Parts: sequence; C-alpha cells; structure tokens
Amino acid sequence: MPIKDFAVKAARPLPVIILADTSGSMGVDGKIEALNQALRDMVKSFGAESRLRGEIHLGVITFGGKAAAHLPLTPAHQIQEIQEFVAGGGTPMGAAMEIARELVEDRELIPSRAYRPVLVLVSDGHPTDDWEGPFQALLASERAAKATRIALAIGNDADEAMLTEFANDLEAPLFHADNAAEIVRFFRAVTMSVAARSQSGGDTQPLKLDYRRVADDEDDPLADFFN
Amino acid sequence: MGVRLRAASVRGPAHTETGVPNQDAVLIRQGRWGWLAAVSDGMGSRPRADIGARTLCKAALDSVRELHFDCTDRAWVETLECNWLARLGVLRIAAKDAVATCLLAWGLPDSRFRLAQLGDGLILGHPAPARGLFSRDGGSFGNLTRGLGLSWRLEDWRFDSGQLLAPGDALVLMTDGIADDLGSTDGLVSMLARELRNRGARSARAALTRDLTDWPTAHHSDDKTVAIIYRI
Repeated sequence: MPIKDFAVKAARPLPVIILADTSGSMGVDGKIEALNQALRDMVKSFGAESRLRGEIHLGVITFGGKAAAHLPLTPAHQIQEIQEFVAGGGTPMGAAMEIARELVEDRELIPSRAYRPVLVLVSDGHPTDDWEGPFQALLASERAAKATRIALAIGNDADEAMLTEFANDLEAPLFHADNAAEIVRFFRAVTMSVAARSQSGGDTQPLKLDYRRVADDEDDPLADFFN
Repeated sequence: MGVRLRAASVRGPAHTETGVPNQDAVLIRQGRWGWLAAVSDGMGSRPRADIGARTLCKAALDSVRELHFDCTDRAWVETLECNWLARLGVLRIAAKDAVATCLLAWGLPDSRFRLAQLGDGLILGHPAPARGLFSRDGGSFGNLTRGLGLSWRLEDWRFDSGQLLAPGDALVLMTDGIADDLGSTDGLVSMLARELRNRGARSARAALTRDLTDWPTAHHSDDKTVAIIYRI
C-alpha cells in the first residue's frame, strides 16, 4: 500500500530566528562576547539534540551599523561554525525587522508544514533608523503574527516599550539581562525551551519559559530574568 | 456497483514513546441509510483530546442518523456540536479540554456525498476535490489549527458535495500526521482506490496500518489516520 510513497523524507522544520543587536554599545562590558558565546552554545546544543520531533533551523540577523542576514536559515546540525559578531555602528533595528519579515513570509524557506517559528529579539538600545513602519509591518504580517516572539532587554538603555510590544508569548514576557552572564543564561533557557517544544511533536501550547518558578531555583535558567 | 469504506489509524512515535494514547479517531459506517466516514484529531495540548476525538466521531454518526441528507450546512454543524457536547457532558468533560478537528464524508446509497471539515487535515477526492477541500494556507504553520471546542463559527468550516459516479471514484480523509508530510498528492486517491479494490476490510486495514507505521519522513511523530471511500 504505497501511500507512504507520497510522503516527503525531510523532517518538519522548526525555525528559530535570532535578531541580534551588534551596535557599538554592545562592545562594552563584555556584552558582544557574551552574545557570541551564547550563540555558539545554542548551535552546539541544537546540533547535538537527538530527541527532536522535527529539525531545528537556525537563522541570525544582526543590526550594528547595517542590518544583515548573518546566518541564513540552516538546519542546526549542519552548522559547522558561526561567524563571531563584531560590535559597531548604530542600531538599524527597523531594517532588521524588514529582513525578518521577509524571511518569515518566504513560503519556500519556511513551508506551511513547518512548526511555528520562534523569533528572538535581543537589544541594548533604541533603534536609530526609521523603525516604526517595519516594526508594525512585522507585527501585522500574516505569518510573523503567528510566530512566537521573545525579547531580551540588555541593560538599562534598551527600548523596553518597543521590546515589550514585540514579545507576544504569554509564557514569555520581556526578559532583562543586566550583565554578560545573564545573556548567556537567557539563550540557554531559550535553547532548552525550543528543544522541549521540538520533542513534544506539534504541541500547540506556548513556548515554555518557566520563569515563574522561585528565583533561587538553580534549575531555572530564567529565574533571574523575572521582573 | 456500490461504495466501500476502509480506514486505519496508528499512534505516532511521540505518543508511543511517552505512553500517550492515540489522539486521532476514525469511524466508518455503512447501512441502508447511506454511509459515513468521520476522522478526528484531538488537539495534543488538551488533556482529554483523545476522548474528544473519539466522541466527535460518535457524535457525527448520531447526527447523520438524525438529519435529512438535504439539511443545511448550518443544521449539520449545529446538530453535530449539540451531540458532541451532550456526549462530553455525560463524561463530565469540558469541551475546551477535548478540542478536536473534524473531517466528515456523508453519503447516500446512490453515492451522492457531502463533505465537511474543521481544522487541520486533508480531504482529497478523485475526480474532486482534487486539490483538497481545505488545505492549510501558506500563511499558517504546522502546529496551529482549529477544532471543535475552540471554534464555534460556521465560517471556520469548509463544505463541499458531489457524487462518486464511476468505479475508481474515491474520497480520502486524513489527519495532519499524514497530510503535513505529503509532497505532491497527484494520483494518490485513485492509487488508493485501485490498491484497495480487491481487499477485504481486514486486509485493507492491515495494509494501511503497515504503511502508516513504516512512515518515511524523518523525525515524524504525529498519530496518523486515514479513511477511504471508493466506488466499485
């Protein structure tokens, strides 16, 4: 009974797209180094994850001086290494939003059989370009509106109002990092949560970032981010 | 000349490994009144989704036994909802805890049929609906769906009707555990009708079960359920 002859062999993708602030202000206090470490850890963890019910695809968009696709959407297990971020320039977040919107709306890169994408926005400052239009276009776009959107505000100068509006997961409001170590821990929490979702196989629940647990619980990597 | 119905359902690897029951359900019935194929996929995040799906299939049978074939789409859906809620009520289960998709093919002995779909999955037909009654649009993703217990609007449903006129004409109802992994579906329905033509119910179920168990998509996880109605 060859019904299975009509099935594709490729696994269902679970896209994870990081929008990373690499502006000049990220070059102080070890922030960019922490971001580099966090991404390396994330790639390593995703690539080593063997209990998946899909295939995690990772993409990275940077905005520092100019916005660019730093890493095209790639199956995590195929990523050999990720080019290190270098901090510099302004914060063209609007341009990064535009790249992210085009990526999420691309039906070839992200087919409809894919799991709901996860967008992670990380920033320590205010956008320096004309960001309102691209930002609203991203939030209003058909597919990005359905994606899970998570935001991390680094330090005290981040545009928290905008980042709060970006985040749409009830289980994951805006998170904060006050130092480099917390950036790494945030990414570890996102990694664990995405891996957990991919193991559940088509779970329709929100991405679980278990920040409600007590703050001194060392097992909870996001406890320190809970306001 | 007549119509035959065949079906199979297998638990996905994710549920097998974790000891969770199959959250898909299927019911096929045929009598002097006509025939019904009901396929349902319980929404995995809901605690009683497996019961929701099974109950929905039974409620679908209740409904077509109560209704005239020429009833309106609204009457069909409203009767189905009432019967489903009544069955859940007896079990003291809230609808929100038992959300399930719904794919229905309801036919008469002369092989006229009506189709209804709410949520994910795929209803294909040969010769029609060749492209599917209601496939996921490009704006959605694989883990978002509608279902009874979550959607109460008639606008969320899709309907169609037709007739299986010639031998080999067929309908296939499948949950998203199958539909989401399919590439081109050209020729799928007529192939199934041809392959099943000389098989009895037990043989057909065994063959389909083998096919759905030995599924080639990498990391596939979901339960898989299919019902086939074909003219002989």
